[in-house]
Amino acid sequence: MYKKFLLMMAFPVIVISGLLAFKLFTVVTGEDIVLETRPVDPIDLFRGRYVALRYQISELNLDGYPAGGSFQYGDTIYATLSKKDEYWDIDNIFNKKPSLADNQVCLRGTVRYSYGSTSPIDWGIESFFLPEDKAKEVESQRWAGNLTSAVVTVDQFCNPVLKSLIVGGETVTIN
Amino acid sequence: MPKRENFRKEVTGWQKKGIISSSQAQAILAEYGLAEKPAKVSVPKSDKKENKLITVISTIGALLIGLGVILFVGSNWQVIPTIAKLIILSGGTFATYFAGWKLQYSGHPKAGHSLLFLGSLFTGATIFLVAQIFNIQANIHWLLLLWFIAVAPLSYGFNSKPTLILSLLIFAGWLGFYIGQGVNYDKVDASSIQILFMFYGLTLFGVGYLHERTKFNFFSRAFQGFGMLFTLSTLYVFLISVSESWNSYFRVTNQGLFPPFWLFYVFFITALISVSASVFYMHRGKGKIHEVAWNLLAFLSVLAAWFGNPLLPNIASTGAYWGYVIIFHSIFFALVLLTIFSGYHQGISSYVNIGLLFFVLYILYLYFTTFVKYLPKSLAFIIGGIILLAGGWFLENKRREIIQQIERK
Repeated sequence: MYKKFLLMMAFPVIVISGLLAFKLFTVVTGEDIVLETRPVDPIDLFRGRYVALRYQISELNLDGYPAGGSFQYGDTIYATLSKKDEYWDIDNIFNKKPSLADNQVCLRGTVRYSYGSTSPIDWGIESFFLPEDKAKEVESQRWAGNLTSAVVTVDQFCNPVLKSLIVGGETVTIN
Repeated sequence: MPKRENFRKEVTGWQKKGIISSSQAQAILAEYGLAEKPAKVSVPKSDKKENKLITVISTIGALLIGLGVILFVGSNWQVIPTIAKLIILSGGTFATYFAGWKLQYSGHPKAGHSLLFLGSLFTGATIFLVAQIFNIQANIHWLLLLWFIAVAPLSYGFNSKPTLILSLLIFAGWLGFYIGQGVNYDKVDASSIQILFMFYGLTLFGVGYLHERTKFNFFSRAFQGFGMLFTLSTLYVFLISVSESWNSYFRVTNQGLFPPFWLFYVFFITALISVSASVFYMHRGKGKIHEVAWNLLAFLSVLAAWFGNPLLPNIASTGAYWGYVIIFHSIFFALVLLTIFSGYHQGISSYVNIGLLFFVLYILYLYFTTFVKYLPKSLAFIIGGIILLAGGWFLENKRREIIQQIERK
């Protein structure tokens, strides 16, 4: 009797702990990078208020890279990044996981609509969840131009986790 | 003697699980001299109604708690540390499942099912909490798929119909989000997405059909009901879009006959298997004629939508176009009538209700697209009101009559 119950419980346990482990792996083993942001802001049906972010690396002129011509809507895209002055920026793009130099990390994303030579890319770090009151605060800071960057952890498999925002020079972290 | 005693235990067990009522249990035992014959053998109507009421109330209760918890996750309340929230919610999920499972086997099957359903809602809330902690992209489709994978097997493990219905809704939600995020509308017509959903509905209907021959046959109606709902509602939207000029907005890409979207073909194949299976069983004398007829007619109407749609721009405003529209309307109307008939014939009142719903929607569509166009506005509204009042009265009577006949069966 109890065996069957425990067997059934394995499904939610595996799914939830798998999701948790997958993201924890990135947070624990990954390297922090700082990306320059360009924000906007709505609500997720199940998770509440969030700040929707775009980055300097969210719009790419794919034609400017050697592999740029091969991408279509919905394709997976990889990018190598290295630190330039204050922020990290893209060195090159690939359609397979690239090998990295010592000073580089990689990000995996999805190509969205293509308008002319510029293509929007989703890197999976476009939402930062906040309680209602904090969201309003960040929003007003955003309009004042004080939301400047985000700290993202990236693991060796190019998976990112968005950790915190930098607003008015201070770090905003939840959790 | 021990055999008789075992049988008594077995029957008492069925009664506790809610499979049979107490009067039915007494009647069965009386047949073997193990109890006194009850005064009345049949299940009283009030018992049935009471059972339904208990199910509805406890399911609504579970739904409210579950939604409350999901909203709590959404509020991102920071007074409780995130790790504590995660532990409380995961522990709560496990405890709810355990309580539901225990109740199910200890004479409270309805309360048990409600708690198992609540556990499945908590599972979703836990997944969304983890996603919130790690700032996983908002509205991303695969979180719903994870939720589905986590709870769908439990429907079978716990024989829980509310959990199955929740799973079907989650999967439909995933499909909607996935299509919304994964389709390039520069290359795929929106009308092809409607046809994809029709194939999905047919697939569900077929899955329900196949369930009839397994020990999970009590899931069959849920699958078939959802299948009918999906197929009829998408056919209805397609019917309106084909009949009105706004259909052109759904065909902007010149994709031709074959939409470049893999999921379309997955559901086409599963729908094809569903129809073939029903015909196969029918051929072997195991199928029900009205089910096969519904499946075939629905499949035919979806094919008419798929193959006819790309031709429409070339034959717009010609006799051929109107011929297509009239044939499509006729097939749809026949399908609606067949849904009502199928429900009546099998004694399933929910099918009758689904059929009547689309019957009313179809009549309303006809009214607003024909009478309103050709009559002065005031007269059209008065006649419309009279038709609706009289139609409501007629349908109410007819529905009651059919459901009473079903109950008498």
